Amino acid sequence: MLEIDELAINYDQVEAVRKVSIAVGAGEMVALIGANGAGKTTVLHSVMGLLKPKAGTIRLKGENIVGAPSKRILDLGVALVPEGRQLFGHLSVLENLEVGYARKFGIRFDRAGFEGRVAKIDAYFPRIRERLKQTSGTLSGGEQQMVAIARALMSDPDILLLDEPSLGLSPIMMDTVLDLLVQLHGEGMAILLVEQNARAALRISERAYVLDSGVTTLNGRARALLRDPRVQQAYLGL
Amino acid sequence: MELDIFLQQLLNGLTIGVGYALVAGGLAAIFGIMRIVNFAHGEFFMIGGYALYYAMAVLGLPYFAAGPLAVLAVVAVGYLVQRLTIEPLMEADPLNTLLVTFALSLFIFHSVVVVAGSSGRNIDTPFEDVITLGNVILTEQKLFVMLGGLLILGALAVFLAYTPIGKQMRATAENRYAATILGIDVRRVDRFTFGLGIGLAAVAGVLIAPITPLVPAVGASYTLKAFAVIVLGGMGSIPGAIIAGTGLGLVEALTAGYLSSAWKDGVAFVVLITVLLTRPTGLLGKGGAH
Ligand SMILES: Nc1ncnc2c1ncn2[C@@H]1O[C@H](COP(=O)(O)OP(=O)(O)OP(=O)(O)O)[C@@H](O)[C@H]1O
Ligand SMILES: [Mg+2]
Repeated sequence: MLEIDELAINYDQVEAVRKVSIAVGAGEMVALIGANGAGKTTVLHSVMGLLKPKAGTIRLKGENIVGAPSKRILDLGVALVPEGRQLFGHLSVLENLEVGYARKFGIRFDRAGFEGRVAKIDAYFPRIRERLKQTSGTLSGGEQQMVAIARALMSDPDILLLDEPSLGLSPIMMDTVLDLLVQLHGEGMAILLVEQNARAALRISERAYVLDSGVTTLNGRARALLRDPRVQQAYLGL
Repeated sequence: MELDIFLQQLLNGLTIGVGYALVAGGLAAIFGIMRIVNFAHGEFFMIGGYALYYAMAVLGLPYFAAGPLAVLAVVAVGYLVQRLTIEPLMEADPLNTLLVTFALSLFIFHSVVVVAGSSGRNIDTPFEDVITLGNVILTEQKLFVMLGGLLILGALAVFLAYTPIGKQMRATAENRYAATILGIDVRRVDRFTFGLGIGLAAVAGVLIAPITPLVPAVGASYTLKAFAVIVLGGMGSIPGAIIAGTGLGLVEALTAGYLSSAWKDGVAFVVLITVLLTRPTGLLGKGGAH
């Protein structure tokens, strides 16, 4: 589904990503863990077409997407739930979803298609229907994270990238979000989960990569990494 | 009698205020969505007036054909200007586009001076009759400005609120990054926004030119007013610009009626400062704009 190979990315002089290789198979749930500044967000942004890599390739369903515009990448079935949720806070929940659905520039809106899409996902978000008219900026942090995920799902992706979805959430809300990811994965969605909360991410993922200063240093089955002393010491506080 | 003066100035103020609202609404859209400070904005109002003049005087078109043609011509110019001089600089330091629009304002102003001279032009419309209601007089053109302007502002509000493009514009204004990762083509949103903003200025030019002496310098004066209006309305807030623009027209007209027209700009700026002291983000400002 997604293959990142020997990726390197600079911001001007800063080498943010030096050597990253990650593969996510169809329907697979993969975690990417790493400390602050390791380059996790940078990797996700390069997949979305926001950053030009200095070296390396990014393949999506076999197509090299380096240099492709973001809208092409979404068309190919990738969606990102960004760090910090990034809702349109002055728009209603409904409008956030509509903007996520109708990304073509035009005055036609496929209302029936949109309703169908909402009906598809609202099983995952039990209370979202009551909140559609609410200004999204007035939702609680957990609700906002749910809307951010719902908005990303409006484009009907095959692979969902999530950038620290548990950030700033209470433990209960965090569990709700992670349960949702498990559920999505259970229905066949491929997921690349970036988390600082390594323990939670490793528990729900099948495989994982460790990103250290711009390099993917370790990878393997998530359960094995949970027991790996290097991971335990650096990321699990054991 | 007192009431007559009041009503008279209220109508004058609404007329000019609708013009300000159109011009400033466009400026607010361009600033709010593209983060471009368009110093040339009033010049597009001005060339809207001149395009109307030439379409009528040279092509011999009637007002109702010349008006839309003038707006289209100005929008075409604005679109080219955006594609050629602003779009390539969208990622660069904002100072670049600031200088570009400043240069454009000088370029447009002096081009019009060269082509048309700096003396005033008069434009006759089909609305030359005067309506009298007691002691209140209103030219038909002023009534047309008010009704036509309000209709367009209403249509703009509906467009922004309910159409997919309107929603993309509001989303991009609020969070360009989020819009991009959702696959919205923000470059097309920018192009459309610039054309729309320029179009609103040109519409105001076509409406107002017949009731005001049309000189090249009117552009710069409208730029200044429009900036005051968008500061008053809350930077980048289109509804704020519409309310503040109409309000500014009323304040100016009432000052001219009750004090003297020499005072109208002074009083307008006192109102501006007072509002900003009590509401630093403007009437409908969103606080911490990104
Ligand atoms: N726009 C930028 N310009 C310059 N340097 C940047 C930019 N964005 C990120 N960096 C640098 O690149 C490196 C990787 O940043 P990145 O945001 O990808 O890390 P991260 O792993 O997502 O961190 P966090 O867990 O804190 O979100 C950091 O050293 C950061 O300072
Ligand atoms: Mg990050």
